[in-house]
Amino acid sequence: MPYLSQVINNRIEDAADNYVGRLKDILIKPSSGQYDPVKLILVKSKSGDFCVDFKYVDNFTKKDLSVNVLGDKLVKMEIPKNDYTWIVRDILDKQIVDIEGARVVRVNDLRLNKIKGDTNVVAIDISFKGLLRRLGFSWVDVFNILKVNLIDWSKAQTVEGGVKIQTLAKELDTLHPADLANIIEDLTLKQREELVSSMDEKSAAEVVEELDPELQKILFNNLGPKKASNILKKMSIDEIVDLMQVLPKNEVDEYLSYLEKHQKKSVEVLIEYDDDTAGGLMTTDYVKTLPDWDLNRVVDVIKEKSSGMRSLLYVYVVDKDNKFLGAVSLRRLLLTEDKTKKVSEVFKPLSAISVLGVDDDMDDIMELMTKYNLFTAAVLDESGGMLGIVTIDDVMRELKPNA
Amino acid sequence: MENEVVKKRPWFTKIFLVFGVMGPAIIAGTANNDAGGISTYSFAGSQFGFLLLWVLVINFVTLAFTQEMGIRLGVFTGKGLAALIRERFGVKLTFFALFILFISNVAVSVGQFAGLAAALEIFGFSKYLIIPFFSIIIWLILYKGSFKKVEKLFLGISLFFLVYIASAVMSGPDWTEVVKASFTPYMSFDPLYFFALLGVMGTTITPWGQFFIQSYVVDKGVDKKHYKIQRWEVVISSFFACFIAMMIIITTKQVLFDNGIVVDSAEKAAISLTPVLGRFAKDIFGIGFMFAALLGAFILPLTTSYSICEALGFEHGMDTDWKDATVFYGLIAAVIIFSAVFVLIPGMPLFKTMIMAQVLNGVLLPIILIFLLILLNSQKKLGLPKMGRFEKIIYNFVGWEAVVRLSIISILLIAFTLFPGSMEYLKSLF
Repeated sequence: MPYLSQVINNRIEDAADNYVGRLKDILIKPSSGQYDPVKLILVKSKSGDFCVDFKYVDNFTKKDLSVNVLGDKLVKMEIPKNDYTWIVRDILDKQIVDIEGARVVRVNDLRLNKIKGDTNVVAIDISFKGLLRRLGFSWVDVFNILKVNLIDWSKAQTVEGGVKIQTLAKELDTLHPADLANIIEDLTLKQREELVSSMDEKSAAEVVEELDPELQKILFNNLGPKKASNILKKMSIDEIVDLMQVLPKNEVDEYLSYLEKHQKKSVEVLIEYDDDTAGGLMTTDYVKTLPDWDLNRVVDVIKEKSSGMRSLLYVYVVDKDNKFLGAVSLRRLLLTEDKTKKVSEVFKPLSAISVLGVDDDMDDIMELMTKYNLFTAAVLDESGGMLGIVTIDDVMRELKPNA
Repeated sequence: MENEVVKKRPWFTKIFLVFGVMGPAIIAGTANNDAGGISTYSFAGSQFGFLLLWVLVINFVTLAFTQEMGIRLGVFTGKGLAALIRERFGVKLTFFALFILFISNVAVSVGQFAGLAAALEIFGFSKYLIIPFFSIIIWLILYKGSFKKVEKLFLGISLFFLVYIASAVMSGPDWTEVVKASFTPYMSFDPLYFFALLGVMGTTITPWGQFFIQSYVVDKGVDKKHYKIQRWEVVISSFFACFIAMMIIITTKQVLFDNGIVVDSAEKAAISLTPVLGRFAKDIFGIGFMFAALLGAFILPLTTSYSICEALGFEHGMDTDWKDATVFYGLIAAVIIFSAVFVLIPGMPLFKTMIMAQVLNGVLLPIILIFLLILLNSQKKLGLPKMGRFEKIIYNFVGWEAVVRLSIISILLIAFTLFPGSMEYLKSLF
């Protein structure tokens, strides 16, 4: 079966091999998650353009396009206004989202194929070879060096037009926020705005966190204060701080006013620290306990607080003056049968684990976390007061900023 | 709700806003006059005095309008010019447009490298050492994605060319004559005049500038709310670009033309600043000129590759790496290497190369403008704001006038160059 470029604009003949017109476009009714059969073909003729139901099409190859009736018997349909997607007009040369590959690509050509008797759009060619085919330069690749790169049609989504963005959002639900962020970065401003608006605030916050702060800034400006503040509130503290650092002063104040009181306080503290120090990297999303709490109470606190946090590996123990004492691992907590025991009986005290100073730089952080095999490390001020934690994913982000 | 607040700004906020726009606009406008621009204007002023001033007045109008078309398309479609051409015109015409853009950009890029070599020759550096060195630096900075960090520095340094305002004033021109020349079109059948004319047009309005401004508003995320402010910014920056160009022509006319010196090297262009900068003229000009060339030497390979990859669907952008965006970085490298090698050819006249690049730009520009104008007129398809009938006529008039003007002059210049006899024939007709 042919590529679109091999049949488009070809001669269409009737049952007696008489000229009917030329193939101008192919119309489908796209549905998500499957191949779409060709419904109508748009024929260009001297007496004006018209549509023909695909059931009259007999041959559909690059050499031969024909209908199975005589020209004067052919049922010429009006060109439908909506309902249909025109694959040349609406898909070819446009951008589509490749859901499996989590990226936005440009459609160079389309592949048609027969499935159970129906001719379907089955794949999108995004390769340079597809471009050459369109230009009629396929012969350039005599040695067949270039590879065709096809994307499964059922795993692709168009992005033009507001309505489709809604279905796109549903499709994209299965993706990891980081992959979704990749896609969003490649979309236009308006599409980004529509897509993010169509998500619930929590998932939107997770995706926005993965974007570059500069893009976050642009996106928030576009979403308007109400939506922006709702998403912002759901973001983790250290990501909010990163965003604040690229905003001008007056906007920082505006965004801060959207936050809940406790969030605002944390952000204001964190924003003072240098970007690439432990203070700049840390988050204040963690669970603290006092040594004389029993484990039941700790579990209750975790149940209450952890839903707003990205991850939770340790519970940190501080005294009444917020002086850091040590930590309890979740494993320890889980394996201790007797939940009436006090935290002070099960936790690892300060001497046994290592902590970061607020001014420690990237090298210090990496060395410490690697040496002690830590996924999270506590950050203390000069007098030993607990300020926050640095998690391994923040460190990885520093190492590979564009991933 | 928020819009109402925006609408009811008191007058002093409005004035403040305009000044807020002025800053970036002046920088953009001044930077628009790259090394090739300064060379071309210096040459034009020292060779023809005030005769080409009128072109700059027309250029200002054309530049302001074409740049406005660029931001209009960028803001309302959220797409770059290359992407829009691809979506509107299909693969074949896209290849054609990209081919034209590529040729013109490579020429300008060569011009920037030639400017870099010319500037450093003022200080006695050999181009055989300096060009390979800078090529590697440029590549590394672009590849590491740290261009954004150095860009501001370069833009800041390019503000040095504001010195031409002072030097034009100090050179004491006859201002009535300046005004008169600015509004009196002058034509001559001297091929050199045609050459200068096309060079001046091709350096103010460029294919790459058109692609660049549109990507700029798209990447910056300018939305409909800020469109009006952005409009002001391009108008003011266009004004400054042409204003500085006029000041260069006035300066070189007063200091060089009147003394019978024609600029044919960066060193001679530097002489024109002697009245203001005294014996430091050469050094200060050299440094300013070098950074202007360097800025262009960064931007051109980058914008060329960006546009091509955008249209053809290759991965692109500063936050990618070699593995994901091989074509993007490969093209950047290719443009840098070609430009460097071209400039390194022994005996290659650096200054002439710079001006030739601008002339070639002038020849190719109308083709890109035609694409731009067709897109501008596809308002419904692209979702652009509806234009009033009067507005539409003005935009089309300014745009098509530029296409016709540039085409006629290009054709004549090519004819004069290929058939020297044709000029004599034309002369005999008048």
